This record gives sequence, C-alpha cells and structure tokens, in this order.
Amino acid sequence: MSQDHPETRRVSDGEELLTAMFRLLQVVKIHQANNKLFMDNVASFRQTLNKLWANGRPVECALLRGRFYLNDERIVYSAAMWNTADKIADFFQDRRISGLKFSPAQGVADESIVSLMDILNRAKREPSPYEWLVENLTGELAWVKAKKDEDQEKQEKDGRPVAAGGLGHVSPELADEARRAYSQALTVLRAAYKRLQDKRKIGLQKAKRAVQELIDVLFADEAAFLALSTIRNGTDSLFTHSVNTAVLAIGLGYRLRLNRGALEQLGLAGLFHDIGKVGAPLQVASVAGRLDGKELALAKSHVLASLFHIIQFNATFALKLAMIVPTTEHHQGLDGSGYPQNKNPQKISLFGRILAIVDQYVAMTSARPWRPEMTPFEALKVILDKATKDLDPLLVKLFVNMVGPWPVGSLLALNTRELALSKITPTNREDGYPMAMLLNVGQDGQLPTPGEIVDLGEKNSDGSLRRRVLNCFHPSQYGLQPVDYLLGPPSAAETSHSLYPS
Amino acid sequence: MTQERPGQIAISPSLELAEQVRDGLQGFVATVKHCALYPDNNQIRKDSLNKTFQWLSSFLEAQESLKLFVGLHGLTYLGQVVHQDRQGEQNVIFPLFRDGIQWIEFLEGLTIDETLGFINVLNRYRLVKEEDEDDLVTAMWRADFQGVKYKTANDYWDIDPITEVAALKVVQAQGPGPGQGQGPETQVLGGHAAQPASLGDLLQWIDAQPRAPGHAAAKGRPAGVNVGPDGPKFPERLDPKIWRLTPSDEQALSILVAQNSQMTALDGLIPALTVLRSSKTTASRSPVLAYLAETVRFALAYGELETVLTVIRSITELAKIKAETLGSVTAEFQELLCREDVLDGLAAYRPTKQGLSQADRERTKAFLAFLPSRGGGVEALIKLFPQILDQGIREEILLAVAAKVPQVNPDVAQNVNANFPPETIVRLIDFIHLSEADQSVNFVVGLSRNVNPSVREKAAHALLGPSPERIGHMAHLLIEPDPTVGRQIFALISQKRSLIVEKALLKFLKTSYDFNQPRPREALLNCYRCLGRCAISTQAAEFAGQVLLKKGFRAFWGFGDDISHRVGAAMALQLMPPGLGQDGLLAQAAGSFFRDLRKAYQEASSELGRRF
Repeated sequence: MSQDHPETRRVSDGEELLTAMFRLLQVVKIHQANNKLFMDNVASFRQTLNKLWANGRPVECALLRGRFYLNDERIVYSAAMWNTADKIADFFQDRRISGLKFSPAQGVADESIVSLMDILNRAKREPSPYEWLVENLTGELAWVKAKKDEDQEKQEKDGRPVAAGGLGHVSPELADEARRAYSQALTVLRAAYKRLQDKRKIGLQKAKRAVQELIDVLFADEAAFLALSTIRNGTDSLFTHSVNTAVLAIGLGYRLRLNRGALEQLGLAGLFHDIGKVGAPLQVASVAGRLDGKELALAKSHVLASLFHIIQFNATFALKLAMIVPTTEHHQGLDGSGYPQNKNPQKISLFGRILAIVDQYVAMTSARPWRPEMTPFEALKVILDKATKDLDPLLVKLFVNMVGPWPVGSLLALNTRELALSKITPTNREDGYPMAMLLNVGQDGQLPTPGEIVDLGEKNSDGSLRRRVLNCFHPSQYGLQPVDYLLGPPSAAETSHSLYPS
Repeated sequence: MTQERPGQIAISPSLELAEQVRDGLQGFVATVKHCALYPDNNQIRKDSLNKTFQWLSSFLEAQESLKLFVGLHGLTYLGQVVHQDRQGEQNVIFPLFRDGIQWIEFLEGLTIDETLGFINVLNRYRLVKEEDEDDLVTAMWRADFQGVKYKTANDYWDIDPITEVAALKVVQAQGPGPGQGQGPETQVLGGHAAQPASLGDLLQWIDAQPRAPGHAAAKGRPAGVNVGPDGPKFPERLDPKIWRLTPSDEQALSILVAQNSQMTALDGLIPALTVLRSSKTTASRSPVLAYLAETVRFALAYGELETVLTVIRSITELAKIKAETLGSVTAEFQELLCREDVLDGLAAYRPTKQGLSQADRERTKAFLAFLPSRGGGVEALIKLFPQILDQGIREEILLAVAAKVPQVNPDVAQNVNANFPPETIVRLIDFIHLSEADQSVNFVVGLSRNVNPSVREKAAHALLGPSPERIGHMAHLLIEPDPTVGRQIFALISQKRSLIVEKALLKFLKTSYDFNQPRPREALLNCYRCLGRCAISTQAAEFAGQVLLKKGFRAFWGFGDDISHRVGAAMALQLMPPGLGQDGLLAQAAGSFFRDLRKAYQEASSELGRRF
C-alpha cells in the first residue's frame, strides 16, 4: 500500500503538532472562542503537547533550510501534508522566527493557548516581529519561546532582501535548471510538430519529463518558475505560447494545492492544448489585419484538430482524458459564449477553467501580426473584467494573486526616475507591491544591465512609499526578455547578449 | 573507524565503506526479489524488508547519505563497483540505467514505507512496458520520496537548453507606433495610445510627469517625479478588494477543486463526439472510434456501466442523424468493442462487497446485447471468462453467450470447453435454446466433447432428450467412456424406434466392425442393444445376422477371439421387433457347430438378463 494510505500510515508526532498548530492558528482568526470547532482545536493542540511532554522535556519545532524538525529529528510528512508545511514555513518566515519551543507546563489553560495563537498571528504586523514576540511571550506565556531566524537576519545585514520563496536572487544552478526545463518543453513541442508532419504517432515520455522538470523548478522557487512565463519569441510564438500557458497553468494548480500527478496532467494539457494549430494552416495567423469569417472558422477548428491529435497520442486513457477535456473547454466560456458550443458551461472542469484564464493572458501579452501585445497590467484588467462573464471569478482572483497586481515581468516606470522589472509579489503582502529588479539604463540601443532587487512596498520613515509605480509597460516593446534579468546570467553557456560582462 | 591489528594492512575508509555497501546491496537486491515473489503478508518478505531497512537506516545514520552512481551493468559507490546485475538473472538495477537515472541517493530519515515504495517502483518497471505507460522516472517523480533523491541524465535531450533559451528573441512590435492613431482592434484590447519608443525616452517620460509640491525626493536618488493627489491621474492600481483572497474564497477554492478536479470517462465523450460529428472519412473517424472504445474499456473497469451505455447510445443516435457520412459507424464501433483489449475491462472490474446491483446487471446485459454475434466478441468474452471476478457479470456473460449461440461459429464451443468451468458450461446449456434452424445444435454438440462427464451428460440430455435422432451428429457419444453417462445416452437414444437412429447406429457399428476398430466392450454392447430397440427396417437384422453368423476357421474352433460384436449382434436380434427378417437367425447361432456362434448366443442371453 502507498505511504499515504490512511489505513497503513501512522501520522508522526511532528506532523500531528504541525497540523494541530496550523489548524488552531486558522481557527483563532475566524471563529469566536465559544465555537465548537474552536474549542475542539484548542483541545487537540493541548492534547498533542501533553503527549509530547510525557517525557518531561521541552518540545522544539524548528524550521531549517525549508525542512521542519521536531526536537532535532526531521519531520517526514506525506504529500498531503506539504501544503500545510509550506504555509507554516511562510508563517514562521513572516515573523522572522525559525522555531518555537514549548516547555512542559502542567495545566495550561485554554485561554493561555488561545492567547498564544493570537499573539503569533498578530506578530506579523509588527515592524520587528521577533523582538515583539520576545516582549510578549512572558507571564502566562513564558512556557513558549520563539527562536530567531539567523539566516534571514544575515541576509538583511548583507543588504539583500529576504530570499524566502525566491524573493531574492536566483542561484545560477537553479536558473540553468529553469532554462533547461523550458527549453525541453519547447523541444518536445517541436518534435511533436515534426511527427505530425511525418504522420507518426506522438508519445509522451519526454513531454512528461519536461513537465516534471518544470514542476521541480516551481517547487524550488516559485518566482524563478513564474519568470519563465515571460519568455517571448517573436518568430516562433506558437511554441512559446504553449509552454507559457503550461507554466502559468501549473503555477495556478500549485496555488490550488493540486498534487504532483494533477500538476503533471495540467502541465501536459497546457503544453498540448493548441497542438491542432500545428496541423492547421499557420498562415492564418500570419495574415495582417482581422481574420475574415472563413479564416476565423479555420482558427476555431484548431480545437477539433487538437482533440483529434490528442486522441491518438501514445498515452494512457486517463492522461488523454485529462488533456482532451480542458482542450475542448478552454475557449467555451462559463457563460457559454465561446466555441465549441457548450450547453452546460457551468460543468466546465477545473483544468478547463484554468486553461481559459492563462491561455487568454498569455495570448493578450504576446504580439500578434495584427496587433502589438498588451502590457501585463492591461491584460490583467481585461481578465478581471471577464471574471464576471466567461472566466471563473475565484480562479481569476487566485491568478492575480499569483502573478501579482503588477504581473511578473512587467516593465515598471518609477517616480524615482528608475525602471524596474517586477518579480513575484510576496504572499503575505496585503498591498500587492512586488519585489522588483532595477535596470541600469545605458545608451540608447543598448540593453540595460541588471541592478539591485528592491522591495516596492518599502516605506520611508514618514510612511510614504519609497518608490511609486507610475506606469507599466511591456518589456518586449523595448527588446527586453525579462527572464534574462530575473533568472540571472546562464552559468556556463555562450549567449549572444552583451548583457553580462564576461 | 578501522582499528589496525599488528601486521595488518590498513584498509582505506572508502574501500571499507564500499565493502559495507556491497554487502548491504546484496541484501537489498534479495529484498527486491522477495517483494516481487511473495505477497504482502508473507513472513519471508517481511523479514527481508526489515533486515534491508535496518541496514540502510544504520548506514544512513552513520554516513547521512548513500549515493550510488548508475551504470550499464551496475552501481558504483565512492568510485568502487558495489553491485552488478548477474547475467541471465532478471535485472534489478538495469531499469535505473535504462530509464536514464544517473545517480540515486538515499538520505538519512528514509522511512520503511519509502524503502518499500522504492522497491515496488523497481519491481513495477523492471520489465519494459508499453510505450503509452509511465516509466520508472515518472513513478519516482510522482512518489516524491523524501528519503530517496535521484538525477536523470541530460543527454536525454538533443540540444543545449541554455543556448536554446538565449536564442529566443523578442521582436519589437510592428503595430501602430507610439503616438500614432490606433485601429479599433487595439482600442478594443486596450493598448496604450502613446508610448515612449526607447528606454531613454521612457526616462524622459518620467521626467515629464507633473510634480506635486512638497513631496520629498527619494533619498540618494536624482530629484524624481512625485505624483501627489493634486497631480494628474495616478497610474492605475488594482483595488486589493477585487483580487485579495478572503478566508471564504479559500474555502470556496477548496470546494471548487474537490468538485471539479476529478474527470470521469463521460467527460471525454462530448469532445470525442464533436470530432466524430465533423469527420467525413473512415480514416478520420477510426481514431475517434478507437478512443471511444477505450472509453468503454475504462468505464467497464470502473463499473461505470451507465457511461458505457451512454457512449453506445450517443454513437447510434449520431449515426442515425448523420447517416450520410456516418452510416456504418455503429457496425465499426461494434467490431472495436469485440476486441479483447476492450472487453478485458470486464475482467479489470473489482467486485464490491455488495456485488453488482440489479440496475448494473441490466446495463451489463444491454452492453453485451450490443456486441455482434458474429465476429470476435463472443470468443473474446469466452476467453476472458476465467478472469472475471464479479459473479453478476459472469452470469450475464453466460446469458449473452447463450443468446448469441445461434449465430456464432460452432467452433467457439472449443473455447468454451477450454475456458469455462464444467459447472458453468452445464448452466450455459440450460440457457441455450436449441433449434435445427441455427448453429445452436452444432454448438452444443461441440460442448458434448468436453472432457468432463457431467458436461457430456448435460449436453447429451439437452440434445438427445427431445430428439434422439441427433445422435447422427454425435457418434462420438456412442463410445462414451463414463459408464453412467453412457447408460443415460443409450437410454435416451432408445426412447423410440427411428430410421435415423437405426442408420446412425448401423453406420457406427459397421465402421467399427469392418475396420476392426477397438471399442470398449460395454459401449459396443450398448450400441447393439440400442440397435435392437430402435430397429425399424430389415437392414438392422441383416447386419446383425451377418455379424453373428459369420463363419470361419477360428470361429469354429473358438480360439478365444473377441466375440463382442457377435454377442452384441445376438442381443440386437433378440431385442428387435418381429418382422424385420431376424427369424431363424438366432436359432442358427444357438445350434451352430461353430463354437464362437454358440458362445455368442449364450452370452447375449446372459447379458440381456442383466439390467439394461
């Protein structure tokens, strides 16, 4: 039986503690103290602590380099648990702590536990959360001690912003891995095109590997992963469109806490959702100006063509099903206004809803022969407008959360006479201001060089924003490929850019 | 740490470790094999797994990790070969190499569940699978073992990915330039009306934005542009209220995921039908039909019988609506459904404790009724029958086979004999409606050749009971080896006098006699008894007389030859009704000088005295 089978797998003490703590932290925020769920969770947390205190020693839950430890022993948790662990890791990092130590305290009152959770929740808003916690975990809460996050402190001293979740610079190895994963996905699509031309069957072994490697990049660094979705290629837009759609679809699936298998299927669906276009006359897309009725019909038939090709993939039935359904649905619209016609648009699958959003976003932010690309910001506005019509409103919200209100890769003009490329928006950021990489603008005609990474949410001493975004532009319109900046220079390859001094 | 003894050469730590790993891997490989051979609760398997895990845990506690590099023929550790797959043995490690794994690393904290999970993956993918299935790397990736890491070879791909991405070029917009009027399409999409052409222009644009009085410039920066509330329009900022997720949004998203993330086979039906509807040639619809057949297979395996019927109904309705282009699609689809790789969905279905519901049994019946009688459907069902676990499905298959028997090739009976258990064939015979107008009789005649006597008995009763003349098709039953069954067969044949039965018996006996074919004595005598009871023409007496009264040297002296035929002939003559020409023949035998003739007459009388 699998490790995760409920009948065979024993939940470890560490998992139990993390789960109980996380649930209680959530419940305290939402419910009143007299609520049954509230009281049950308090009891559950106390029970867990009492069990761990049975040997009379303190219980320490620590976070070190992304892994949790219970009294120095690594907590091994199931796939179902990693989302919770991820959230608790964010929780710790937001409060600049790397652990909590609970000393044995007999007869800990419910009020004390509730108070502890409340203080932990509130600490996030303080300018110096760790110091504030030290001040407040006293008296009836003296049995709890917070441990400072030394790594974060060190990074702050170095002048670099917090690198948790990929907010700082990306390591060269990871950047290479990200580029490699993207390129492999492009290779897979090109190979599929060739096989279609040769009337040969398409297998998915390499496609699976490519998508798996993309997902591995995502798990390592979400910011680096999302940066890949900004890649554009003017002469070969069909393939980059599909890969970018896959990237954003996987990113959205990640935010939905889909498991690895589902992310893989979603990625493959994104990668091949337009495979029918490679079989159809591409010159339709090359015609300048609007498409006439016949050409539009031809463009719409790409959905059927895609289905026809996917049906014949050398793949298991379950995988083909996972690809066919969203491919059919991604242009249908929740209001039934799209194509092919759907009489029950409310039954559109989750994958179909995801693809609808990301496909449109990528299309709008890519140049077409008959129109220039929209800025990511403008595209986001259109997407938000469509959330009341043909796109799923909840998923649109989640999408905006993922790419940020100033989407990843946007070229921002700042009031400080600086230009910057937006990076990921930290998940704890209520105002939505992203991290950004400043650009050192040289002479006209030359590409700018990368500058420091700054926090656009940083405030002056008077509370005003240190830097304000004046406007948002599309980097392609200035010949910029954001990924070249956001991922840093390739570690060992030759490039045709003079971006990085040798 | 090694402790040197006097006179002993110190072994380097890495060699010693490699030796430990070599020993440990022997146990590991043995465990892999045990897990393949034995079921979960087998003690040998459990002990082997525990032992391997203990060794691994201890090693990892001391060394923190165990990193093994994978080569064509084996594994290396710290530069030393620590395992090689033996020639002629089923490879344990080779699949790692085959699927492109460069190294595999076990980490401290590895659990026994992960160890077993990894072993299961190795066993699952030891053999090369079908191209459409996952490989070992995908299985490892999905399992995401926290305690087992790996790296795959980069030479899986033909290109240098770093250069490839660097070669992707942004092409600046060719559309309406900055400051130029824009067409309605760009206005619809919301493009910027006026945009600085270069980055330098962009900086100048920033400078040109109106300043708000009294707002301090950012520290250390050139006097920048501050846009205050009295200035021109702020750049737009999305109101957090419209995009920030609330706790109830989070809950709603969880529900959305739970409700909409599972796809069923039915979800793929409409897309497939959409493509089918638009297809105009056999070449364009064949792949779609193949996919729909896969859908049926998938649905059968999961017991989604309503889905199966929905697929069938949808296709038949579509065929009616689009008769011109899709007229033969129903027949094509039926043929596809008859394939073993589709019908094995029935075998893949795991029965529940409650068993198949009545409604699902009806659906199964309807599905089986859709399969054509001719073609491989019935044969495939018969072949799969032993693998089908659900009793309800077995029953429905039985009924379906019985219903299709009239049209089916009688040779199919051989498959039934080979694949159905005897008790099932006995039941099957009950369901078959026999008619001379179709293949049903021949089919049951085929069943009567079963090695099991109860099947032969059942077949004989079914065939001969209502119509003894059918013995003409079943001469093999005349030499039924089982005495009990044999007696029943002859009792059935002898129910009434009949020219057809007489002829059949005569044919059999003549062939046996003329060609001196060895026959069991009891069977032979029974045949002659039947002949006597069924005789209706003079031919019977004529033949019996010839056999009984044949003279010769040996018959005179009675050399102990087998006189079964003479005995049988004498019995037949005694049992025949008068008027068939047998008068005097028996008297001749009784009073003959030929010893064998007299003996035959006496033995016949004695036999007839016994219960028939």
